[in-house]
Amino acid sequence: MSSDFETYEQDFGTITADVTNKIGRIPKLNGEEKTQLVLNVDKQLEEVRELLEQMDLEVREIPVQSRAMYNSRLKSYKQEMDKLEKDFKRSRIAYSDEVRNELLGEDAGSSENQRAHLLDNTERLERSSRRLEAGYQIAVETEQVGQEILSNLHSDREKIQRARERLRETDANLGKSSRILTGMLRRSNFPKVETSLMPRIYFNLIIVLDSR
Amino acid sequence: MDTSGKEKEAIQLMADADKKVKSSGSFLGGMFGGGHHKVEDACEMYCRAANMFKMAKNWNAAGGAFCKAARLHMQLQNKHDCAVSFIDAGNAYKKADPNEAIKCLNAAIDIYADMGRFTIAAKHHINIAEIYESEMVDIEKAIAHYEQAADYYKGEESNSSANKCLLKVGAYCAQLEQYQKAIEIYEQVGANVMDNPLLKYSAKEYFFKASLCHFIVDELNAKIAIEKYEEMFPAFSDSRECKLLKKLLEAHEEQNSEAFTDAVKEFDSISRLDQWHTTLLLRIKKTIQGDEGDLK
Repeated sequence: MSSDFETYEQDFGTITADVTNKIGRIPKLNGEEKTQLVLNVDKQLEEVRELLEQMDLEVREIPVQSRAMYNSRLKSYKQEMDKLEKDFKRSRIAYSDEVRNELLGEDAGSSENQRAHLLDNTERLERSSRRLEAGYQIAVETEQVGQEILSNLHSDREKIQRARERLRETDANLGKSSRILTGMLRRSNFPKVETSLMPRIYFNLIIVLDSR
Repeated sequence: MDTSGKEKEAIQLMADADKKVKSSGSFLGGMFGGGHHKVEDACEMYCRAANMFKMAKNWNAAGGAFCKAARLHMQLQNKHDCAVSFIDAGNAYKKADPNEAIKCLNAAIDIYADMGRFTIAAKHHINIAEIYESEMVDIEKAIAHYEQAADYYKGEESNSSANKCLLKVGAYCAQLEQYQKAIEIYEQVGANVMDNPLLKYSAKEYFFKASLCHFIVDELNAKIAIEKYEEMFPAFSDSRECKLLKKLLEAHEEQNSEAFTDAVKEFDSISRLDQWHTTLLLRIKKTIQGDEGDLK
């Protein structure tokens, strides 16, 4: 029983390898060729499905004690089959690099071309590195300028606070001065009142004394 | 502009002012109370003469005239005007006779300190320090004046200005190989700015400078100091400065002059090292055995 299972396994391996190879070629082909290959792969996938069914039947006839091992192997083959089917579906709608190369007139197979590509990429990398380094330098310079600006802002803040304090002091002093001046005015006005009243008082006194 | 004409006019004004001062001191002038006004007029004349001397670029004469005006203001008990005149005299003398400039500025400082105007006094201490460092190249005296300015600023809670002065002191102390003092200053300033949202970005620079000073004194001290700064200010760990210090320590431990130079070169390629850093790094490099003695 197990020998039959192993035969199926070998067939499964051979067919899936062939299918994988063909799936890889599908995106690169066009028209009739592509259709033929798709049909071919479809047929092979059908064969693989049948093989898996056969394996399933074989596993059921294997004694219980060794069945678990074969079951796990069968499970992994089924997963592989699912993956192949997905890849097949993708390959039918996949874009090929060949199409791009054909359009842009590039020969991807040419080693010279690849070398030129590599050199170009290296140069681009170096340019990017230089640009990054320059950017880093500018960032560091900006940081230094920023530090200076912040330091200046802080000292300006202190100056403004000092000026505000001094203004408050000045305001208080002005208030005091105003009060002192008001007092002085009052005192300077008092003698004027006194001098204007005194003659009248004397005059009234004289009249009073005279009438007696 | 006719400078010689201005100068003659100024000399004439000075002579008239001198006469007024003499007449104010006479018995009759004192009796009739006109002395006070005459001295005030003389003050004004001296100031006008000084400005004319300035126009004629005769700085010594301008300084002298301002000094005479200052002395008369002192006689009249006008402290503020006296100080201003001394400052003007100092600014004029700066261009011709630095020693006289320093005397005048010191006189103004004494007046301002007496009036309790410590911020202005500190500002003029900085002026004197600048004269010492640029004109007379007497760094020790410059340091003394910067320190005095820092003290005055601290007393007036102008920490930012105080720190500026202290950083100058620190830089000069390191140049004069007074590393311990420099370390104390940089650590103090670093600790001050560390918690300030505006100034915290400068802290790594001060800790870097302190570490370099430590490095010159003793490698082990430097290692301990760097660890301490990383604890105090976690942002220091990620800074380029800290990474450079660690590379330098490694190179120094291995006595690898090449590695030391490469680390410095790498740092310098991003942000150019100034003269101060270059000098200190060279001193450190010279402590590595078998060194050629330059930073290549």
